[in-house]
Amino acid sequence: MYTKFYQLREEPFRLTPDPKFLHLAEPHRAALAMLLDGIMSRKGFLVLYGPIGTGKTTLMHAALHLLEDNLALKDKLSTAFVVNPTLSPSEFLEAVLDEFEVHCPSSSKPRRLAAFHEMLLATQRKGGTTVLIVDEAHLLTPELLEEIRLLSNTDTYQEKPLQVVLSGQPELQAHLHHPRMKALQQRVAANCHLRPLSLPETRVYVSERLHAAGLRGESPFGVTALEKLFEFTSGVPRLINLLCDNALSLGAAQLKQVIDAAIIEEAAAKLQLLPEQVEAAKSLSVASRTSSGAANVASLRSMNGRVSTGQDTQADEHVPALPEEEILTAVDMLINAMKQRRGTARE
Amino acid sequence: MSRLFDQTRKAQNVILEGVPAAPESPEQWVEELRKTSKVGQGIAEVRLANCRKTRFANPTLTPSLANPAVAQGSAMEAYRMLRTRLMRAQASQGIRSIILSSAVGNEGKTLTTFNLALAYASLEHQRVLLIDGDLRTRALSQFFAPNSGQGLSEALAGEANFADVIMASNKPNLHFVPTGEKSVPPPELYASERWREFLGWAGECFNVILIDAPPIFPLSDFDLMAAATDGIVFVVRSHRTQRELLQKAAAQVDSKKLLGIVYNATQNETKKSKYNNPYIEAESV
Repeated sequence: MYTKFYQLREEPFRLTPDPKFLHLAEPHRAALAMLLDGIMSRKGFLVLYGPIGTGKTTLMHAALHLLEDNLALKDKLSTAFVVNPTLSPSEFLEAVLDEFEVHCPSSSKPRRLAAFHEMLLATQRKGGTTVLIVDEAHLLTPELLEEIRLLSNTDTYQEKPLQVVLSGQPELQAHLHHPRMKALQQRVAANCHLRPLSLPETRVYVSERLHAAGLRGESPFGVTALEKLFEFTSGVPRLINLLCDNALSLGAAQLKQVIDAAIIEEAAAKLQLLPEQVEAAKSLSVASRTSSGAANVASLRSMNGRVSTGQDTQADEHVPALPEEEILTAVDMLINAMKQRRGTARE
Repeated sequence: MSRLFDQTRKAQNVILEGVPAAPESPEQWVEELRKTSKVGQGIAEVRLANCRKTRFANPTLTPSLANPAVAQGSAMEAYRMLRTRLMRAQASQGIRSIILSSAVGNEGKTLTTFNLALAYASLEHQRVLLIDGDLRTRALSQFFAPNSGQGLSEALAGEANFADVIMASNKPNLHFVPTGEKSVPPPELYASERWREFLGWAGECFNVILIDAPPIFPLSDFDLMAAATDGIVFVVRSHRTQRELLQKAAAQVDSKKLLGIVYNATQNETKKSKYNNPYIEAESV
């Protein structure tokens, strides 16, 4: 165990979603604020997109944790967290009723819906609200999405009694933009996009987690180690956790107080996160659909690699000039503007 | 050491417990959440607790920064606009350190950097670090912290701790790093790993780091400095910057990091509209 060696109270990079280790980087903070705001002000439909491993589920748990701790909503909140949405519509309804602890002896759909609406109204009368969170929502079939829309279709009241949060990978966005989904699309009150962390955010993430786990003083990860870490993980929090955890184990085994780039590389090699390993795993997984743990990690990395390149092009839209020619055109425009102004000044 | 530990525990609690349990309205609650968004609150509290102090005068009162444009509300409004655009880029790309430079000297880098820092620091949830990175002219340091003793050059040479070179200012959110007094050729300092380490370290407790850099020509400092920063802002002064130099400089800058160009000291363009525009008033920062 490396915790003793680095004087930590607990493992800082455990993989299970634990709200205590919630790190609020800019996109996460915006997303959490959106979730809380949306639920508290009863906005109806909220959608959260994010590539694999960016912290969607952790964020949902944190939001629920905050809402349940909130005095204004204490005992007035009924929540359901549906994590496996690959169900048929009737199974889904059953799962939702189970989660909300609504007992309905009949298995007919109208009865079940009536029981569900009864619960919605009862919660609303108490001054609370009902929250349905659907994780992995990109796996929802169009029928199920329609079903969810109909569940919330009790809009005879001023404020919406059911708050629905759909959280899923970026494909969800495409699903919702399908013409068939127009009715649902229009009900979405707020969208939020989680992205992988940048290098400075990765650094803050790692050091905050270490401090949360009891580290005193400076982080054992040096600047070159963090740069390597960022290179191998593309800033995806889940991969950062994996790699940091392994690097700390290796570091403790080698009795190194400071984790350097070599240790990160060694740990990445063990996890099949090196770029050439990711390439190899990509072709391998296509060929044989292997499901060994290492290959899973590698395919996660490769998928995120793809996602993050998409992110890059998206980010580039915000950058005014990219290639050299474009800068030069921008500069030329500036110069022309200056010339014109000089001309008018002379007049 | 144990203080840092306690403070960081507190910082973790700030994230979840700092949000009030019984808000009067959802808006207030979310607002509270946003206020806790200062990065590394606990770490910063410890690191910055024993800072030396310096005073930032109002730019309009500082002789050489007394650009008449600053006194006008419209100019400050322009800085706020610049800040807003940079913050948008920061949010979408996770940028922390921004370096400001220009092709040649005297284009208004220092003025722009300083006013931008003031515009950032006027927001409650932003902790700002202003670094005087121009180790040759030391313009900002001379105004705000003359005889300040150790600064950036000592920190980069490994002779001072990072925390010891940071100075608190009379603006609560604004901290300053003077150049220091050591005379080592700047390229040697910026080429060292300490520079990257310093920016990374500062990124753990500041939301934004603004660096006043020397001009791109005729020095090699800028390239070395910019290599470690996340974003570059280019200052161009109207009626001054030469076309050829500007083109050469623009070609030299890493285009992926270029966040934008500040077109400085435009002539009276906003003056006319100022009288008609009720939203623009002279405001002190």
